[in-house]
Amino acid sequence: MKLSRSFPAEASSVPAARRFAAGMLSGAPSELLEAVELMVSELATNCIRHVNASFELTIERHGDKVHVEVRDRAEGRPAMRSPAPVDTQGRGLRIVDLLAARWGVRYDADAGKTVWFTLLAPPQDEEPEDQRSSGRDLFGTTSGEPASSGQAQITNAA
Amino acid sequence: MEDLDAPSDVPEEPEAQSDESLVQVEVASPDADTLVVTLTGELDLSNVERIETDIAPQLESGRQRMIVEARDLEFADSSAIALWLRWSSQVEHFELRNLSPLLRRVLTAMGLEQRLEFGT
Repeated sequence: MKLSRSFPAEASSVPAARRFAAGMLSGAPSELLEAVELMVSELATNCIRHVNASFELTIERHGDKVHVEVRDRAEGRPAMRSPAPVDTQGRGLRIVDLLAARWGVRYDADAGKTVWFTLLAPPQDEEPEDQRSSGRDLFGTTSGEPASSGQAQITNAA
Repeated sequence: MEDLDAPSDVPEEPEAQSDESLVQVEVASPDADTLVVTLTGELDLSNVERIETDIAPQLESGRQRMIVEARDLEFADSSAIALWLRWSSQVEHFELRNLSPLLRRVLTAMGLEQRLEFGT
């Protein structure tokens, strides 16, 4: 399952992006959901606060894996800083680095970049192997679709 | 294959929420030196400035102790962390109570657990 949505360059896009992510992760373990919401919030905040850019958020969920991309059209490279404790800025990517299994930045040929991260659901307790292969993944959704299917592009023109 | 129908559990249009409904703040002063700020809801870029403005007059009187009660704070990100750090620099003692385990983990990894003292 993969969905994208565009968000305008305004502060209200930060909670809106979290809602979109949460909608994609319904039924996911709360630990995973909270971490994804936090990271999405950080990347959305970076787009708006640092480069004042609209952005496109893509959430892809397959089995126990969540892949998130935030794409903007602004120039410039994101920096992960290690702020001194007294600094009040520069923590967004630091948080992503701390919580994500993997993350990175892709630069488009034209202006723009995509910051992405991948997160795995924590292993579920006490679930026998034979139940795991019965078509329900860790999120309680049925699996079996090829990775490229189910893609929809939703554009929020607001 | 392209399926344009969004799955039913994905909201078609997330409600545009004003920051007013996203976060509520309650202020109490159990004694002249102490300010207790109770945050409810979600704190992020969209409302952190308003909360800071709301609280600013309370800090002008030179209070020494600030307690932020986060028991009912459902979400907070680095915008909130930055606000807490600014507040903590304005008082002698700053305490962050009942923070979520995830944020505790994040703040500890950033070496901020001393500055934003965690309380229960």
